[in-house]
Amino acid sequence: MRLATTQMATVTSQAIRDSGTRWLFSPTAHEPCPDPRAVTAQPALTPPLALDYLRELSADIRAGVVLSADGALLAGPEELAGAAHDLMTAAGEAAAEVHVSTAEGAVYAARSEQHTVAVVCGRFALPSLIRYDLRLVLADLGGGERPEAA
Amino acid sequence: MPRIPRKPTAPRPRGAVGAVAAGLARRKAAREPRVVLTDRGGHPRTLAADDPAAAPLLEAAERLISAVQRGSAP
Repeated sequence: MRLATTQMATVTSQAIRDSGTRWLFSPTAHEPCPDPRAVTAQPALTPPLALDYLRELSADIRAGVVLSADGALLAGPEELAGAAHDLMTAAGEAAAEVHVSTAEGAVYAARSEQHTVAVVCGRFALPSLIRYDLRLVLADLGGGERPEAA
Repeated sequence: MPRIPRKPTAPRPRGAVGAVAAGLARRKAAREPRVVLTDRGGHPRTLAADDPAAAPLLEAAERLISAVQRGSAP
């Protein structure tokens, strides 16, 4: 039993060392990160993960897509990509967010310099929450600062 | 500044009948198409349903909703 406990601790410490985060647990953790690029080089979120994250944030979201700035599909069903691109094109360059609700449901879309995210929701989704979630995901996708809560 | 006299309005139903009528009106309003565009500064602009600029947005949104309802999208 004691051997197993010792073994587990060793495996954990080896994993920490291999992941490059050992400085976090060291006595010098209060000092600045030795290589900040190691922490911030990659965006926090990938397009497929962004859609999963959105669905976890809101049960009202039925489906969604992530597009690149030029309209290429990055994540989500291909059937939605064309219509989502048309939606943002029709909204014009000045529009950063679009909300269209009909008798059957609602569509929310938001874009940043790099990405566009569009989601289809039920009629009773709360617009301010969905729009905030979209802005949050766009910020994470682009590696920028998260928006403040309204 | 002199106060402008109120225009007379049609009498509204009160009580239970009024509540039911108001509920029906709210349900009808909730089902009407609505288009809101927000600029980068966070300023929203609501387009009227009969606005020519709203037509392509409504059409694209209906395509998205139809695709999801058909079950083609997860």
